[in-house]
Amino acid sequence: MHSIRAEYWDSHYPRPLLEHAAWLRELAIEIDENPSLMLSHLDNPLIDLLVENRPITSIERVQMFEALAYGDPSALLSAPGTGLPGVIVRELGSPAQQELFFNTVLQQRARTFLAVTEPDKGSDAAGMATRIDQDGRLQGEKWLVGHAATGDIGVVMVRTGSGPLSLGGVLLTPDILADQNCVERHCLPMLGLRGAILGHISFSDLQLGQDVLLGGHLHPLQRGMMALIRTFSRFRPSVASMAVGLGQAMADYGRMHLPKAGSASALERLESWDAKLSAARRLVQLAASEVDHNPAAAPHVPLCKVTATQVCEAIADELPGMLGTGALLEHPWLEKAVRDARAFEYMEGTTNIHLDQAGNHLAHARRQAHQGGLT
Amino acid sequence: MAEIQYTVTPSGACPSGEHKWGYHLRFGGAPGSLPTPDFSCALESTIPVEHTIVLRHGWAITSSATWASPEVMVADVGSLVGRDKALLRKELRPLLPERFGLLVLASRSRHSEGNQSSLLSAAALGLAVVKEQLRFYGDALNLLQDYCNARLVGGRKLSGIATVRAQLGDAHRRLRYLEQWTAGTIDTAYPTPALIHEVRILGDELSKLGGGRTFLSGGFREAIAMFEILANLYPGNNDA
Repeated sequence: MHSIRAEYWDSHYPRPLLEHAAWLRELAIEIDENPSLMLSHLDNPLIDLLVENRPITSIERVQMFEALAYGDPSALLSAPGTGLPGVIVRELGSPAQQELFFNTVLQQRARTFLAVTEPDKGSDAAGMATRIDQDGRLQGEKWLVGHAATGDIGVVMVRTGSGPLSLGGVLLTPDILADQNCVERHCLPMLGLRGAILGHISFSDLQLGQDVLLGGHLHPLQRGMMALIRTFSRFRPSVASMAVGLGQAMADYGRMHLPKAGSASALERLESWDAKLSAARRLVQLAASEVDHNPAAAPHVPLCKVTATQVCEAIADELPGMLGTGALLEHPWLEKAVRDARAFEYMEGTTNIHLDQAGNHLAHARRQAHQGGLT
Repeated sequence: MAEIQYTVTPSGACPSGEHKWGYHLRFGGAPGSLPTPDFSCALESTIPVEHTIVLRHGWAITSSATWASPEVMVADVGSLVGRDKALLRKELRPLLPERFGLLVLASRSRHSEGNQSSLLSAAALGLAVVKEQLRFYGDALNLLQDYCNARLVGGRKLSGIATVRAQLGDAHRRLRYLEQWTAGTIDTAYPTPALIHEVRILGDELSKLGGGRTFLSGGFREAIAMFEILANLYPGNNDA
C-alpha cells in the first residue's frame, strides 16, 4: 500500500538508488516501532554504501539523501554510517584518528554520533558547558543527539579551556564509551523519526588521553568554532534534502491514494506541491554547491533548510484532510510520515537560528556591496 | 485542573529518583509532569448519552472506559449489545492513542455502511477536542512563559529577547482569539478546516518556542499529533 511506484520515482531520482529507497520504504513502519531493527539487516548493500570511507561532495550527498529519504528518512537515520561525525573527523582528524574512525565504522558496521546540543543551551556553542577539566577528565552532558546511546563511536564537542576559542571535538571510541562508571547513556523516547534514536549522554570524571582531541595538530582557530561551522554547513543541506525527499514521498503518496473522484482542487494542490518541492530542491542544490566551493561562506544554507522544512510540514498538514475522513487511521504509513515531518524543524538548527543567520548574511552582503561602491 | 507553575531549581539540581533527561524534558524544573490534554474526558463528556461512541466512515476513537462498558452504543445508530459489538474491532495501530487513554475501533462490515453516527455528532466531538486542545495550550503557554523568564542565554533572560517575547505574545494572542472563536455550542462554533488550521498554527508556535524537547514522547508535539488524528476523524471532511 505504501510501496514506491517506479513511474513516480523516475520523475525525480536516478534508477540505481531505487532499490535502496524501496528497501527503506519496506522497513519504514517496522523501524518506527522498533528502531533497532536495522541491526538485523547489516548485510544489506545500502549499508555497504553508508559505512565506506568515500568522501563525497555536498551536491552528491544531497542528491543521495533526498532519494533515500523518499524511501524513508527514519529508516535511513537508523542505519550505520559515517554521517555527520565522519565530516568533522575528515575535517579535523589526524591520519591516525581518521583511520581509527573510518575502520571502526566499516568493520563494525557502526552507528555514530556527533554530540553538540546541551540541555537548556540548545546548540549555543558559546554557552557550551561540557568540558575537559584541568586534569584531562571529561565532565558534562549532551542530549537530543542521534545515536548518542546506541552509537559505537562518536565525537563530542567540548570546551577545552575558558576562552572563546577553546572549543574542540573529542573522538570517543568503543572502549572509552564502554566505561560505565564514567559514561551514562540513555535513549530518549521520540514522537517520530524514531530511527534517529536520539539519546542523552553524560560524563563524570571520564579520563581522556591526549590522542582523543581532534585537530590537536592544528591551530586552535582551525579546530574549534570554525570547524564546527564548516561541518554543520556541509551537513545542513543534507537535512534539508531529507525534508524535500519526505515531502515528495508524501505528495506522490497523495497522488496514488486520492479518492477516485479526485477533485480539481486536489489535483491543483498536488501540482502546487510539486512546484514548491522542485523549487526547494533547487535551493538545496544551490546551497550544496556553495558549500562545495567554500563551506564558511554558503549563504543559501540557512535559506534552504528553513524552506525545505516548511514545504514538507505544509504537505504533512494538508495531505490527511485531502485523503479524507479518517485518513490518518486508514493509512499507517501516512500517519507515520506526518509525525516524521515534524522532526526537521529541530534538526541542525531551528528556524529562528537559520533566519537570524540569513539576516546576518544579508546585512554582510549589503555592507560588502556598499564598500564595493555598488548600489 | 490545577495551573502548572514553573519554579526555578538550582542549576543541575535534578530531583532524586528522576533521571536527568526526564528532568530536562520537563523544562528542567516544572513541578509534577508536563501539561497534557485529557482527550478521553473530552470525548466522554460530550455525548449526552453515556458510553456512546461516534462511528464515522468505519472508524471510531473512544476512551477505554466507554468501550469496556457492557451498554456501549453507537451515536445515532443504537446499542452495540451482543452481536453488533463484534463488528467493531480494536485496532493496534496507530500506537499514539493509547498514550492518551484512547483506543481506535474499526468496522469493515456492510452492516455499518450507512449505519454511522451523524456528522453533527462527529462535529460535537470535534469541537470538544478543539476546546480541550486549547485548554492544554493555555497550560503550555504558561509553562513556556515561566521557563523563558527563568532561562538565561548569554546572561540575559530568554524572555528579555525581543523576538522571543514577540513569539510568546503572538501565541497568547492566537490563544485568546481561538477561545473566542470556539466559545459557545456547535451551532456557533463549528470545527471547520479553517479553525483546525488556526489551532495547528498555534501548536506549531508553542512547539517551536519549546524547542527540540517538545518532539520527545510526552512533549507538546505528541499532543498535537493526537489532536490531528482526532480532528481528521471528528468531524473530518464534513462529508455526510
